[in-house]
Parts: sequence; C-alpha cells; structure tokens
Amino acid sequence: MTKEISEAAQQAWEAGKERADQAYSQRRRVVIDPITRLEGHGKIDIHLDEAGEVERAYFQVPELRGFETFTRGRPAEDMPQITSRICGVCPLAHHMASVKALDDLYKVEPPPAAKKIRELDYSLFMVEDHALHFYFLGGPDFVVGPTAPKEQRNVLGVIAAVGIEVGKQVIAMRRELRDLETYLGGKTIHPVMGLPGGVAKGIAPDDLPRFREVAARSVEFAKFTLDVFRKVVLANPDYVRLITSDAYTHRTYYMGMVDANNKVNFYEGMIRVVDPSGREYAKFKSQDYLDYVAERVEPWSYVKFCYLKPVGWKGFVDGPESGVYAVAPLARLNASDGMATPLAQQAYEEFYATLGGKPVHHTLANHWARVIELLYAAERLVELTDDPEITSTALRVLPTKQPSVGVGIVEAPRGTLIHHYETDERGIITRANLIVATQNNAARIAMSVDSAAKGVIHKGQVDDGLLNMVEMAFRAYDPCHGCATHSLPGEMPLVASVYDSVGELVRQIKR
Amino acid sequence: MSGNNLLVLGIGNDLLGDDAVGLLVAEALRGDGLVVRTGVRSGLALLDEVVGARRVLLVDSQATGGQPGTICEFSLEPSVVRSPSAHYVGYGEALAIGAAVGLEMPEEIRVVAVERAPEVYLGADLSEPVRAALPTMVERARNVIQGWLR
Repeated sequence: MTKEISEAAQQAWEAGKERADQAYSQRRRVVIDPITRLEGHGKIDIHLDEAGEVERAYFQVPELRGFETFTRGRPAEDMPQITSRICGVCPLAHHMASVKALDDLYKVEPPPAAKKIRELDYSLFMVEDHALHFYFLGGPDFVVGPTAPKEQRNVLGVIAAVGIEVGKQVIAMRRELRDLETYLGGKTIHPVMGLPGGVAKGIAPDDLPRFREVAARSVEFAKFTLDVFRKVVLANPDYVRLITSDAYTHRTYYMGMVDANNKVNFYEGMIRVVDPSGREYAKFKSQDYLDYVAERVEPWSYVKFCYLKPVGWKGFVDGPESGVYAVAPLARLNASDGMATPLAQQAYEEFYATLGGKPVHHTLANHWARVIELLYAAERLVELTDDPEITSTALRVLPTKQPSVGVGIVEAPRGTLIHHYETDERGIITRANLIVATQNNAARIAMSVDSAAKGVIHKGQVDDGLLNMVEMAFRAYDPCHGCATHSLPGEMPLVASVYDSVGELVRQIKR
Repeated sequence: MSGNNLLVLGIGNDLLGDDAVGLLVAEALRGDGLVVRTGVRSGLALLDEVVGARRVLLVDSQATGGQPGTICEFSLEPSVVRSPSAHYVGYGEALAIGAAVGLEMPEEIRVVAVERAPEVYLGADLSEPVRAALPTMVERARNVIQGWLR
C-alpha cells in the first residue's frame, strides 16, 4: 500500500516496541501494553536463551472487547442480528449459533423444514468459505508450495498454478453461492433468516431448480478441488514430509460436533471430544459445555485460552495429561467416526490411510481436512435440495415458554462456536458469553507457533524463511484476528521480533 | 450522475466505534444524488460491490498505528501482499484476483480513510478525534467526486 501508511505504522511500531522492551528488561517477561497494540498486525515475539535457542515464541491475536457490556439489557431476539454484525467474515456462523441459542432459550423445537433450510443456508456458506480458504488463503502456502520462491507465494501464484479457468470458476462459484445465501438470508451481510423456533423465509418451488443446479455444481467443484490437492500436495513427497514433520505435530485432544452416528455435522448434534489416542473422552449436549470447557488468561495475550476442565490446565503442552484441545477441520474429522455423505466418506478413509490412522496430529493436515469437509458440505447441499420437505411452508413454531438460559453451538468453518445467553423472564439479556473457534484453538496455536520457531531457529540464526514457516503453522488453523477485519489496510505486515537472552531486540522480520 | 458510473462505497461496522465512520461519510453523501452502497464484509466481498463501476470512492477507517483522526487519501492498487489474517484476503489481493480472472474492474478506486483510535470496543461511540475529522472527511470525499465530474 502507500509509503505513508507503512512509515506511520513503522514509527508507531518502533515506539511501541521501545516501551515493550523497557517493560521486558525490567521484569524479564513480555508485557503487551494495550496502547502499543497495533490492530491488523500479526505479531510474533520470539525469545532466545543464552545458547541462541528458542526459549518461547508468542503469537498475539487482537480480541473483540465489550461484548458482555454491549449485549446486557437488550432483548434476546436482537442477538442473531447483533452477533452477525460483529464479524465481517463469518456472519452466518454467529447468526446460526445465536438462533439456536434462542431456540434453546425459549425451549422451542423448529419444524423439520425450518431446520433443513437453516442447514442448507449453512452448507452454502461452508462451501463458499472453505473454497476461499483453500485457494486464496491457504493456497499460497499449499497450492503454490512451501518451497516456491517468495514472489510466487501469493494469490496470483495460486491462479498461475491452477490456471486462469479454475480461478474464474472459483470466483463464479463463490458468486452463485453468495446469491443463494442472499435469497435465504434476506441480505448476505447481516442475515435475517433465523427466528427462535424457525426461519423467516422458505424456498419457493419455482426457485428450487436453481438451488439444485448450484448444489450439483458445488459437488463437481469440490471433487475437482480434492483432485487439485492430490495432484499438487500428495504427489509431492516434500509436502507430505512437511505435513508430517514434528514441528507441526501436537498430540492433543480434539473437539467437534457429531450427528447420531458420530458423523461430522456443522449444524446440529452432540459435542464429542476424543483423547490424543483417538478414544472418545466425552460427548455432551450444548447446554453442558461449561462442565467441559474452561478458560484461562495469560499475562502476554488478550486471548483467553480454553482447555478441558476435567483434564485441567498443565501449560502449553500436549499429551493426555494436558487439557489442551483443538477445533476446526482436522479436529472435527478426528472427533468423528466419519462423514455422512458417500464421497466425503471415501475421502475421509483415504485421509487416514495416507496419514497413518486416527487420530492425525499434524496441524497442516487441516488443509486436507478442509477440502474433505468442502466435499461433505456440497454433497449435503444436494441431499437437502432433493429433500421433499425443503419447499414446505411450515417454517415456524411460535415460542411460548418463559426464557431463562439458552446455549447454541454450531461448527463455524474455523471450529466450534458457542453462544450462551441468560435472560430475565421478559427475555432481556442479563449475561452473554461467546466462545469463538480461535479461543478453543488458542493454546494449540500458541504451541504450533512456538514449535515452528523452535524448529527453524538454532544458535541464534534466524533467516527470512522463518516467517513462512511460523506463518504456515498458524494459517492452517485459520485463526480470527479480531472482528474488525474489514478495516484498512488489508495488508499490514506480519512482524516477528526476536529477542536475545537479556531481552535485547536482535532481529525484526517483516513481510 | 450514475451515467458516469461512479460508486461511493462506505465500509465499516456501526457497532465498533470508529469503525462506523466509513458508513457515516457514505450516508452523508447519499443526499448528493450519488450511487451509495455500504457494507461490512471484507476480502473478496469488495469485488461484489465494485465490479462494473468505472470509478469508486471507498470511505473507510484504518488502523496503521498513526494519530487518530488523521485523514489519508490514496488510490487502491492490486497487490499480492498477503493479508495478515488467515481469514480474508486484503483489498489489494481482491483487486489482483478480480483483474486476473477477467472481471470488469474499475479504472480507479480512490480511498479516503481516517485513522481510528487503537482500541476497539463493541458498542463504543466515535472517538473525539474521529468525530472531529468527520466534516473534513465528507468534504474530501466530495472533492474527489467533484474532480471526477469535472
């Protein structure tokens, strides 16, 4: 972007660094001063020991604040609109979790057609989001290649690698999905479709053929994408070595939503947790999440780190004794017994056969798992658009019960998303809690960044390849960088600061 | 004026304090008889809005670490610098993708953006410096449009 912006950013960064450095040298720990925090920066601090080895690497994520205060005193019915407006990236995930929390709050079961329409809308969104991630967000790492020259590791490199026709297809597919989301949601940006006990709008029988066409195209698109993954990634032994390398491997617990047959489900089901050996550790209803999920704060981050309450917090370590768990595509596959649709199930079996059985602990396998989920979401679109009930006009059951507590959980593209509301007898919010996917993943992301840094920095030697390696570690999770994500500039540098054993800044690498 | 195929695009979130400023400026320009759109979505959603327009005035807030209230004006160019987030592509990337796949991209996208306060709270009002900058932003946005209409 402009020179003006980068210079201003640089100056502010230096000023902030100076203050942080002072704090560090005084207390020999990292204190992030809120005033020095730069929105939009990916910020990594790496601390070396006397031998020049990595003592600890930290990855900072800005966090949305004020949610509790803002929502208190508002009618619960406003929550699907409010929460879908806090994030410019996945409004529908928040909308859906929120509407489900309202169903639970008013103890009302939506009619089958309403649930199917919600799931249909949600599947459109999952196809769109997973495709975007595979091609344009993860693509520069994966489609172009981790060892490709730096100049090619970008969105144009992806288009060059897959061909312009495919690039066109990705953009056209996205547009079609988006148009149908708008049809169902009223508006794509802030969906207004969900109501406690149902949905506001159905599908007119005349419009169904269009949904079916897009569903069929989505399946072809997903199959093609899986093929791209096979050709580009799996056919390359360097890639497979990278995916399975120790630096990107953590033996943790995994969490994801499953249906009655323990198959992956994004919209509805029980939450299942498997231990690092892949055995079922817990399976619980949304309403019981507080028995299993606890949060803790660390002095160096704004993000609250979730862990499994019954296992307990043992620090940023893996293994069965540590309550650290993961969510998102890989975790969902690990936490399930398979996929509910035939092609996705085949892909699921190939995934585990190739990577040495369940569970897979390799963070970078998230990219592959994401494509398998893309295929599932597309196949699910076909099932739902073929369902005779999908054009039903029985779309709502009116809530009549007195509200008190409601919990709604969906699987967002980035992992388990929890909305929890408490209200007075009039349905006015008295307390609201939100756990987003990135919080669920926060401890494991921190571990991945730390071990990636440890894998590439030795004897104080830091090179420019560091950022790529560390970045790959966190990009695989698709973490949330706070909710004001549309703010300019969309391309601030990622900054890694390396400190020696006495807290002196020895190297700063920016992209 | 729509014959000139001009678009005013206000980007922001009215729940996030200073982040709402792009929307407010865009609304202020609505009375001028221009085609005005507002949105909150990031990344490729930019393409949904700008494709087909000849010139786009984008009003937004920015967070570069500078003095809150500082107004910045520049032309948005396609870029391949990756967004810091794994969530969304940057504006520059969205433009690069749109051009690469042959979408009908605008000749120019001019940005008028104000630096927002570093802290973002849900439900916050505009900060004082940004509120004070609002009239100037509207004026500068109008100047850009006037320049195009001349």
